[in-house]
Amino acid sequence: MAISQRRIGWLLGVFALLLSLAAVRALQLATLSSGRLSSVANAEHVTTVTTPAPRGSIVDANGDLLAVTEAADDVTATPKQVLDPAAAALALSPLLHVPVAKLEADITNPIAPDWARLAVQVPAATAAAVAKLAIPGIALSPDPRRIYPDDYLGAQVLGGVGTDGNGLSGIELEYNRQLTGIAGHQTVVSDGQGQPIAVSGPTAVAGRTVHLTLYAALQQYTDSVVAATGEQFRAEHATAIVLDPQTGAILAMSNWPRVNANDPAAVGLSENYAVGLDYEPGSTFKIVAIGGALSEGLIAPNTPFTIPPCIQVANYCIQDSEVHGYETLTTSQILARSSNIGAIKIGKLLGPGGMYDWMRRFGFGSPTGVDLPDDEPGRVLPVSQWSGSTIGNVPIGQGVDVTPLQVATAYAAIANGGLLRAPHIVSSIGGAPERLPKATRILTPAVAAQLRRMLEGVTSAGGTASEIQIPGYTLAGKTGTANKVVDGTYSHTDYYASFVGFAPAQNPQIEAIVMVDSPQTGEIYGTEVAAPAWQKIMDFALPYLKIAPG
Amino acid sequence: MGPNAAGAAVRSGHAEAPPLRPPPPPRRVSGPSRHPRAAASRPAASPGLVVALIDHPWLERLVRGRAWIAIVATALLGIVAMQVALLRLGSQIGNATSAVNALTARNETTRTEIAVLESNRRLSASSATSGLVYPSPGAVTYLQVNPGDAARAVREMTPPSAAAIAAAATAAHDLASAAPLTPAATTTTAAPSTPSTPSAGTTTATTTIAATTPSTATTGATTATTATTAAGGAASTASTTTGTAASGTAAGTGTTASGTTAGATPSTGTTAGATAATTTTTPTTTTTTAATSSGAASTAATTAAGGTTPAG
Repeated sequence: MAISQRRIGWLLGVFALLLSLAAVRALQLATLSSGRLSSVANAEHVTTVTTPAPRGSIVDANGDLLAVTEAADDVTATPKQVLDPAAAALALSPLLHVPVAKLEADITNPIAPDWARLAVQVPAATAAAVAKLAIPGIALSPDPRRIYPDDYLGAQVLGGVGTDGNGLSGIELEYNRQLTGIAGHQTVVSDGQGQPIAVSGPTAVAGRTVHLTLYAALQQYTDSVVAATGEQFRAEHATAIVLDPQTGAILAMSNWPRVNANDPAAVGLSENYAVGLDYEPGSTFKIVAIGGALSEGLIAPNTPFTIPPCIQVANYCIQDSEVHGYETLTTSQILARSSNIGAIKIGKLLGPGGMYDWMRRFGFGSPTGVDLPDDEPGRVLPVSQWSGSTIGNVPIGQGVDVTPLQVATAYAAIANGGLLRAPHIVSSIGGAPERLPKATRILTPAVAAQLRRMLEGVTSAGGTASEIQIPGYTLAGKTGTANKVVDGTYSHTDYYASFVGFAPAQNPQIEAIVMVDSPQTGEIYGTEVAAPAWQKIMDFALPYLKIAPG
Repeated sequence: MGPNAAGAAVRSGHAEAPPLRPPPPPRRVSGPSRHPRAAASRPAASPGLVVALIDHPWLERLVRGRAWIAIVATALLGIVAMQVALLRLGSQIGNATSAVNALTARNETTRTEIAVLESNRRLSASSATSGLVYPSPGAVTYLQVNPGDAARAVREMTPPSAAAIAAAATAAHDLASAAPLTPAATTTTAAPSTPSTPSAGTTTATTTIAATTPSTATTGATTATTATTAAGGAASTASTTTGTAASGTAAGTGTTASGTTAGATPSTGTTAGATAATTTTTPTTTTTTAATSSGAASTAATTAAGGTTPAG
């Protein structure tokens, strides 16, 4: 009995000692070494994974993808961990399409001491192949890439995205906030074999889809027409806009020279001339003086004007493009034949103040409000800065700078019955429709109708664009030819040729403007340079948009 | 104390206790008077209940018995099992997350591929190779439709016959097994270019495109009709597309205000809808004059000293 009790006592003593040792060790691990041990454990088992948010897509009016984001990865190297740089370079070269020597040089002589980027935005399939090689020191980091499936289609309008994933120009810039999603930051706990056993944290939220009013097919056709026109006339630039004059929705917007949207550097250097090019409009601007004088009751469409061979304004005697003697033209004929002298006479009826006021009412001198970057205001001098000859220049579209979109917006107001509305190119974001911009009435419906009839005369017999015909449709438009200002003086070799118009003339459903900068083949007039392109675009657009003749 | 009383005390073996005084009343405590009901509502019985539970004979029997070991062991095993399940769940979530990321990436890649395949540039080039062209404005005529025509078309529509269905199946099979389509000729049939003047806002669009292949050029055209009537019949449109069954262009649908849809009958059947829509055709006579007088283009610009804008 005493022996067994003694043994039990010893056993208890040993257990007590072991427990004490365990407690001391536990205390040491839990307090003195806890920080170091925790960081070691976290480094081995806990990783924070940042998942880039897919950028929202850009789609056209039919939902066709114009810009989409594809999963891609950057291939990076930690040079110290790459045991055999030559072998690694040899294995990676065929996958990354980078010469072996360059890869080896990048690994052995990295730009940073412990980091080298071997390839940027390689497709997911390539990235998977690289991962399969399991080369120590070679890693992948997600870096989605932006793809524009149609390459050249509306490149300046869509814009581009920088290496940081932010929009640099065009829609990509204007709607960068909506297109950019929220990156996911997830904490992943892995087991000894590297298998994740716990994942926590928010996942990535994709950016919103931006729905445009553009029609890809119409855009492509317009692109091709503008490109053909630019090449045919060896122009410096060319641009075209197609829009719905009733709503201000932009249906196509093209620029030439064209650029590949998948080439960010080229896109970054290019310009959307439709909204950003300031030019003197020439005769397309005559609707301002005539529209203003009609609105103020100073003239009527059939008011006769005596047109002399030239009209004296300050020190200049300004002539029409055709030499003629004294003749009598009505207001409608002045517009149809694009008489400079007649337009100046009407401008003088308005006076400098009235002329300036009506330029501003038509939206010139202010940005159009379009939802695109680089919306230029143009240049309209206040009356205080006018010289004695300005009243002879402005009514015929000289001495003012406008953008093609400003001209299109002003003509849209005539087409839709007198409402000036900011054009727009985005119809919805993430499924939520965008609100239609507010309209301002600048013309009465009656005056707008008078102007439409007068513009119809431009494409009728005797008008400056009588060659422009589309079977079944009545057309209304205006030609414009303006000397380009070079080194402060009007050039006699470089011109802006343009044509703006809409159809059907009395129930306008579609409007287009074509502007060609510096045609170099001898043809300079809007009627021979821009109007044929306009006709081709309308030829396609009218049946494509199922607009009934009228 | 008398002798009797002392004797009684000796008998009982106890000294007689002094007479008891009633206990003094509790001292008054400052503060609000306690409501007797509030005092009654206090859980005065709780400690008693716990003690009773602890001292309960069943628990006593359970703790002292062998069942206790089994219960504790089961509980421990349960905890371990739960931890294992939790780890397994976490692992599954981790794997699922990885799979989601992989599938998302693949989905993006596939979507990009689809977008490239659907790109207008590619489709236009492919269509042009196949000889397809967009109709010119003159090739599209707009017919006038009365508000009741679409409904009448629906009434007259009949389902395709069994023979027609069989022919369609054969044609589809032939189409599927055929080599890439290389039509010998594609023609765009322009209806008379006498555009209509819309009246009362009701117009009908008719596009006629005929595509033929060498093998089917003599099989006769199949007509498919699309008729759409807006609510209230304010505007109606109808289009007729003609093509050969074997070329795969004959499929069509007819949609009317009442939402009825009927398939066209390939190669042999012409839907009543097509007939109805076609019979309502009313070519109108608006003529567009093509004036050819030249504009200002032929005249050189005449500019003043300060420079004038050439007219138009």
